[in-house]
Amino acid sequence: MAGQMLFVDLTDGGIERRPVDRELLREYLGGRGINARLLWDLTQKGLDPLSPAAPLLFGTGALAGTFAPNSGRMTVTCKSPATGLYLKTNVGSHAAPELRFAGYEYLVFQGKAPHPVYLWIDDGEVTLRDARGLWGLDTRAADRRIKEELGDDQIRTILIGPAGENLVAFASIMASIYRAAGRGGSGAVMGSKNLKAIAVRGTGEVTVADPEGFTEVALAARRALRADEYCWTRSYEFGTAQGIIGANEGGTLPHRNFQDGRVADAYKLSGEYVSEKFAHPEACSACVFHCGRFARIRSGPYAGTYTAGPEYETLASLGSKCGTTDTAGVIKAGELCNILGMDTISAGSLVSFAMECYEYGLLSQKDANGLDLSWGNVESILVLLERMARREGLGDLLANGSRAAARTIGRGAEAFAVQAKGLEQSTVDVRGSMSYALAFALNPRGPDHLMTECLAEVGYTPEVRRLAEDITGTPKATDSLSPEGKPRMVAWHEEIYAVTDCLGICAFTDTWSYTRVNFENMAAMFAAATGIALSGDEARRIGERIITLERLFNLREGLTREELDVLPQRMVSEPSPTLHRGARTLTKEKLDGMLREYYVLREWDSESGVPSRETLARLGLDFAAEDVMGAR
Amino acid sequence: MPTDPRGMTLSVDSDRCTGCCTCALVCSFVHDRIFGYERSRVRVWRDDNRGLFAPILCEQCEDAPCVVVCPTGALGRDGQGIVVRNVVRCIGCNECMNTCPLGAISFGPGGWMKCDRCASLGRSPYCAEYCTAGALRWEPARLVARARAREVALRRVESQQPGQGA
Repeated sequence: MAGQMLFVDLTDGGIERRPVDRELLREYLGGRGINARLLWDLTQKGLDPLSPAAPLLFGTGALAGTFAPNSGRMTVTCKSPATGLYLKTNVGSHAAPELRFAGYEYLVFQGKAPHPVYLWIDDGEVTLRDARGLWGLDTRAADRRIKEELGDDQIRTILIGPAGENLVAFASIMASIYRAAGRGGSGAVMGSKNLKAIAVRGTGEVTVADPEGFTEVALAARRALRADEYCWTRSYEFGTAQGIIGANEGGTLPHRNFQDGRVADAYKLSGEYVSEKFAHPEACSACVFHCGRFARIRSGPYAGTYTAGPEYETLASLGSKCGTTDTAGVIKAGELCNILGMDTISAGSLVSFAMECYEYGLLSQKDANGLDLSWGNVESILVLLERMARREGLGDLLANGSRAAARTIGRGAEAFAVQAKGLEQSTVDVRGSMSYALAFALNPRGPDHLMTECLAEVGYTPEVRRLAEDITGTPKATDSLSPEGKPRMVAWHEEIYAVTDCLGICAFTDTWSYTRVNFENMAAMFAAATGIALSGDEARRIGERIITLERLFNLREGLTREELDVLPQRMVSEPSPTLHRGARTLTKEKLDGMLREYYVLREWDSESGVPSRETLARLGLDFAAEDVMGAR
Repeated sequence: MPTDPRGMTLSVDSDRCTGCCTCALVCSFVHDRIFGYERSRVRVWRDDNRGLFAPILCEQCEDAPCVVVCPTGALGRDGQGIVVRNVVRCIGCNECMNTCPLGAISFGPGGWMKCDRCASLGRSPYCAEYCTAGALRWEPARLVARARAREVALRRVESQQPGQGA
């Protein structure tokens, strides 16, 4: 593979190409790993995430553009404006393969353009073009305008909407209009640089070092996934929202901002219903599962709506969490988020936060500029989304994220902000699942399942239960309320997710069909593709290196374990009435116990949660020791 | 849609396509040991905005316009019904590409490209084998019409139900 890194200085328009360093590839595998190292090197403690000096990194997975299963993904990395901490966010579509076919594996943006621009990558030719005419346009309109301007409808775009331009704390970067690098506000970082879009057309090729070896292992992995017919047929038919009904039955589908976990007619938010009535399947590059949806509404008040999605998170966050099961309304809300360029998880969180403030009298109809923020008022949801993206009225306050908004509102509003470290929690109720709780607390970007999803804890097949027991060494592994074995469960998942992200393979590959794609065959695919020898154990070690480096980034900022390893207040202080009859299933003490065991497992200091010098040396992270210890 | 001597055909069902482009990646690799959407004999046209996808490839037309327009007679049909090219006769005039009603012939960096249903590899089409969406299927030709008839019939029956067909 002969891909390059493209360094773009937006301040002076300088564009520089550098080969991808083989040593970097050997030590960090690609995508998320290499991005993490670049971010470490290019960032100093205390850097303002929205300042020109802050870097914005795009890293394609090491196998993107090949037929390795589910391999078309890309990692976006920067310092998060929502949390002020490390942010990695992953996106699918076909942007990553297109970039690689054009000859580029990494894009590094620094500086700030004097006026709005977009980067046009036309195979070998790279130019910055005037985007003043695109500024203010939604993602759909901007995509269309770029394709018209460049005269090719098969260009792939990566772009921001009005929310990114207006520095909304949860603005996303959208690939191919509707696929989001959603979490943590990377869209605001892009907006702060006056970078509206990246347009790419790649007509070249990607090659692998050992074609025969690669074919053998990659196609075998594809066939193995395909043999798990239950998994991929459900995924093709119903998408990610196939899990809504199960979550509702289990009492963990957030309702009214996590006040409880069940709605009366969850079926209307289910993948089954959405796929039957509104949506057809859609997929990222080289996918076996086809979990993406594309919805169209043909009748009723939202007729004419069309957008990719809705995914599980969109349905739960903008639906049940805001107190509605109006399917078409939620699809409309998802469309708005996509074209305005906002994370549906956080956007739904801000709406439900505002609704709860309204319920308890912390916000009045006057504060809401005339909107009736009663639970489930779809019209208000839609207007509020628009106002957040454009920073109008109450929307301007909410656009700063729920932590900041709660601080401004005061009078106890903090209790309604289901966030930790400044990031809104995804729609998984961690009170019912100890490994999710631990993983969410440790997640360097904030509480969500998309960095480390310990689905094995659910033990949904005998095979998965066996795996969970193997990983943890205890039959309690699949007992969701027991802390036993959960630190090992989380560590294993963190590592396999890190490797998966580095290769550009979709995270669902690991957990929807456990063991078919694993450390061994991922290492073999990497080795055959790059010509760099790698074993499954070595891949896992690299996963540990990346997890640790990501933590070091946050430690360098001067945060302590008490500030870093936390969950939203509601999760640890209020029981959910729909879980175990309102019993307190998760407490701070229980979480702390798991955390300490986890630190020991990682060979970090059991009190401070800081990796020791020996651990850093073992992981080849010595270079970071001075910066981190100096920040203490 | 002509069939090969075994009565098999490569059916194209855009309704099931999800735009994953696995077909293109598999195709470019098994023929040329490279990966590339534009280096493939099957190409997936994607409309990102409207979420529409369609695999485009040579369907080995019965009365193939490319064969007719070729000024040197370089294009013809082999024993399996595949439209093939005689490299010696071909002068690279692009007439076949310009004429193809499907846009399924291209002259890329690798030269003339068109689907041969993997006949040159001596096997059934790779793309269909790895298309989990079921948009490209290698199947008995006699089943294609039957499946289509069933679809049409169901659509008609369903449209007769009150309250349906929205």
